[in-house]
Amino acid sequence: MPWPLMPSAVQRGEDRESRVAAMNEPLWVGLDLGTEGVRVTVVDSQGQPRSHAVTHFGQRTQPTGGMVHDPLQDWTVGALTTLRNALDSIDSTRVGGVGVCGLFPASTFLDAEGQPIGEALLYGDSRAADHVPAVARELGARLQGDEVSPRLVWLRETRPNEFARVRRVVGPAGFVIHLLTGLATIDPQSAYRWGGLTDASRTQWCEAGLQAVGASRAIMPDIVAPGRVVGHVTPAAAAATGLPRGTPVIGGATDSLATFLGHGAVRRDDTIIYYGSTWTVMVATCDLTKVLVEPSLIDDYVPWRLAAYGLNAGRFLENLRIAAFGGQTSEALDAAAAAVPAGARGVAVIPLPTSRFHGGQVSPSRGAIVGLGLAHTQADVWRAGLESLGYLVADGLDGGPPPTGRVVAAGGGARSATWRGVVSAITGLSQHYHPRGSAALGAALLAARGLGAVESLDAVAEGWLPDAETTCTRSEGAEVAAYCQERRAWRLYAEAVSQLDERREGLLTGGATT
Amino acid sequence: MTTDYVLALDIGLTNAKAVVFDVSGALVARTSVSYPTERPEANAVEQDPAEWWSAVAQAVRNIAPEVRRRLVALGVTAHMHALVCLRSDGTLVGRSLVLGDRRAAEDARLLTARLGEGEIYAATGAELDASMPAAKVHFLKRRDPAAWTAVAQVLGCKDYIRYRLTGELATDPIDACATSLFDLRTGRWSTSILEAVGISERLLPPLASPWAVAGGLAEEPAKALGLRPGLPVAIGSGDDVVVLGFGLLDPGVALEHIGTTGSVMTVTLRPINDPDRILELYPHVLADRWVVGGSHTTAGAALGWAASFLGYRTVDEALAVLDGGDDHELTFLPTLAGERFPARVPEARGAWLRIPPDVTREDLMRASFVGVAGALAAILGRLDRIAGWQQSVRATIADNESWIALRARMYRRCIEVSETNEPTALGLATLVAVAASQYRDVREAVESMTRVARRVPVATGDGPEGTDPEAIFRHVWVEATRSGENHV
Repeated sequence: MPWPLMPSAVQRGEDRESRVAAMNEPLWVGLDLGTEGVRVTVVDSQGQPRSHAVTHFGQRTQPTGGMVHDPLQDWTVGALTTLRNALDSIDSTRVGGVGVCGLFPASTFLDAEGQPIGEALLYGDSRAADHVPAVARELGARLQGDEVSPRLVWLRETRPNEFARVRRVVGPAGFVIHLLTGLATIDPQSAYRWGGLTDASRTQWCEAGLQAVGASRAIMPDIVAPGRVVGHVTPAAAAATGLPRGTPVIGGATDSLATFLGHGAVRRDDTIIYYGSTWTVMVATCDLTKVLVEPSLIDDYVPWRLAAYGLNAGRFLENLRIAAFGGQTSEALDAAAAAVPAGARGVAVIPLPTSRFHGGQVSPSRGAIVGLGLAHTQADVWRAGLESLGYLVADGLDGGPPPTGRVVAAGGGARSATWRGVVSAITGLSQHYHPRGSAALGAALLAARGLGAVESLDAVAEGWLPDAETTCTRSEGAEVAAYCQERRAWRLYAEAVSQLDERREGLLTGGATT
Repeated sequence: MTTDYVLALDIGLTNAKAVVFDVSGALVARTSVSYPTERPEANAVEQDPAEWWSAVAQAVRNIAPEVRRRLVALGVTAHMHALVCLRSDGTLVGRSLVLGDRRAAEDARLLTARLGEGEIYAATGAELDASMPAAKVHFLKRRDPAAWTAVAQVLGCKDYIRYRLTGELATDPIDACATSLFDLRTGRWSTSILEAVGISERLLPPLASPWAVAGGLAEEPAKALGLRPGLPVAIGSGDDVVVLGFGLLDPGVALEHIGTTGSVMTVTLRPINDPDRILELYPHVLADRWVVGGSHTTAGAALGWAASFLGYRTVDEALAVLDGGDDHELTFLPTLAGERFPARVPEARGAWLRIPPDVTREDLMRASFVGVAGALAAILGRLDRIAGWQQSVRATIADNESWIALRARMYRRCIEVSETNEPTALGLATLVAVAASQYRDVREAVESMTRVARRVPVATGDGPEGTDPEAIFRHVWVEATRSGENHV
């Protein structure tokens, strides 16, 4: 039997010229420096995937409240290696531009040689918590506790020698752009989330604010809107990555904005449910394309509403799987959990209930597994863990109008159809999911848009990811209703566990009883 | 005198043990035979008394003939709260409803409402729940009044077995107390409770001292057991006779017993009423004193569950984690099947609380041991407050060193490790020895037959000093139970 013939170019209706044109068509590189690692994706102008690479490193938490990355090993080596791995399998001379996004708020400090000083401080680092109230007063700003401004004060007060060496402060995306171009920049949303350091236009640093925290304009990066060319790849960076020298690098964005863009959720009321190391639910509060034009149009910190937030909740579950449940695969646990009835037979998982920002402080992070009986197994607890995201989403969305736009499941955990099904059943929301949707794709889109290869940021929804799966509830309202009681119980458990945490100090000294 | 042996028949919830001691208290032989538990419907836990009898007979026959020949007396102890119903000809009416049977929950509520919580606790030393024979009798009568007319006698487990050995019907004050039909204050069956349940005192066996001789071993059972007919059979007592096995005759020393459940008990010189009705009161074998204590429904059971959940083959294998350091914040709540302490909360469930983001299975397992020890420490703390300070705690010898040290730390006092790992059978053996006239009285028998092997001191400085385990447990239970109500 003859081998089936591959369809020839002629059979596909292509001619030689179109193939040459395809060969010459630029490719767009998107890089996302996230909490768990670096992801690089390479696509063409139609959004077709051409290459992909990931490097995992993960965060480190410290007993003193630190939540850090190693800027040399994680950020420098991670970014350069991942870029090289992604470019190895393609013709890198075709790269038309590189878009960069990163987690926020986070920062690291560079010395006169551009080398990092100490650790990179991530959003969950609580060591500067004591400085938050005073800094907020000084700046006249509303601070959530995770901003960079109190961390500058913390560094100055606790590590004066390190502070004296600081010549630049950069965020994760800015760090990678600095690696590639030698220039220090930041996007307006990240700059604003550094905490009371920008002026009303949100495109300039505020001198008085900088002075208040002991910083100078000279150490701050330039604020550049996403989608603008901010520099070009230097010879050293070209040698380290395989990118052509002079490749345009496009102004970065927060990983949250890139996640919206990279999943085709760009309109007001579009919603992202993020199944990542930290769980978030973000509802766009304006047309996100506007942020590329005029940052000051945004009437709050960021152009979306953070409807729910579970700091490190996904990481908590993942650690349970690896370190406590004998390292079973998430697929095996998902399959077992799928057989457990709704409500996890009375078990509830409260992933890190106290790890919220409140009163300007980041509380310590501890979780709970409650409702356990002699018949329960790991499958019940895993099911309860999956359900806890559903409850978090449902509770978070209760605070506002129901999302009317496109609801997208994003983040590594969203690849689990079981998990998406559980979340849809609890919330009643249909969720779109595409395995190629990512913040890195959003960064690539910014690069393509910034250099005029695509006309609209709607490109992802309309053409780049046309075949998203949609997860609906099987029985719609009935299933949501079945979860109502379980959701109420989960909330009560969460409140009880939080109260216990708050009162534990008194209990330990033998004082309070109920 | 030291060459004479006594036989203690110890009937647990899963097997019957035949344990032979010499009259100095040294273990000579031990055999055991298991029997099945039936769960014919929701909340039902039944066992067939005929299976108990077969298991007892087999266990005794498994003892070497030369050992059996040197026996001078025998007796029976057993799990309490079982209900056995007999016809007038001594044949069984159905299977026995044993400890875990929960079908009489509504009956317990009804009787409690009829008699008043305070009155029941004051009269019987415990709250009335579904496990108590008083509630079970009410349940059987209510469910099938016609079948109930055939019942001419109700007995506990050990009294049924002794009835099979001797043909004599009797019980002792401790087992009587475990029925919720006995008035501790008068030392007699309670007429008001009998009236509320709706049965006559004629259905209940007469009371006798635990060390008295019930009668001689009858011909037919002697043949079935392979023993000499006429051998004296002591009245015996319920498995709270473990108090004697640990040598507890006087106040000031507590005992802990970690089986499926976990108990901490001590001796008092007066009948103590816990204002919260949490601790339970039993008569001591010695006439002028009492036993007061509390139990956790799932102690060993919680450790077994946690070990299995976390992938350890056995609890013994999991004990290795105790060599690691404590995370003083990570807490395990071992209330996996409802709870009796610090409050009767049938719907209470277990939890791991304050779990750090980088927790390991070793951390969770270690916290489980700490949680069970903490639960027992909470009972001990309450005994301190209500029954007076307990100088030390007695434990069995069959235990891991790190596990004992952890408990000593949680209890904040010395643990006295008993020489025996069969404290229940040894406690009964002291009574049998008195029945066989080997000793003048129970005090002499206990002082001669029980010994402390060694003392494990408290390791100071490495525990959460100042912790009040009951305060923590009470708070968590209240909160978790309030939430748990939505799940039941």
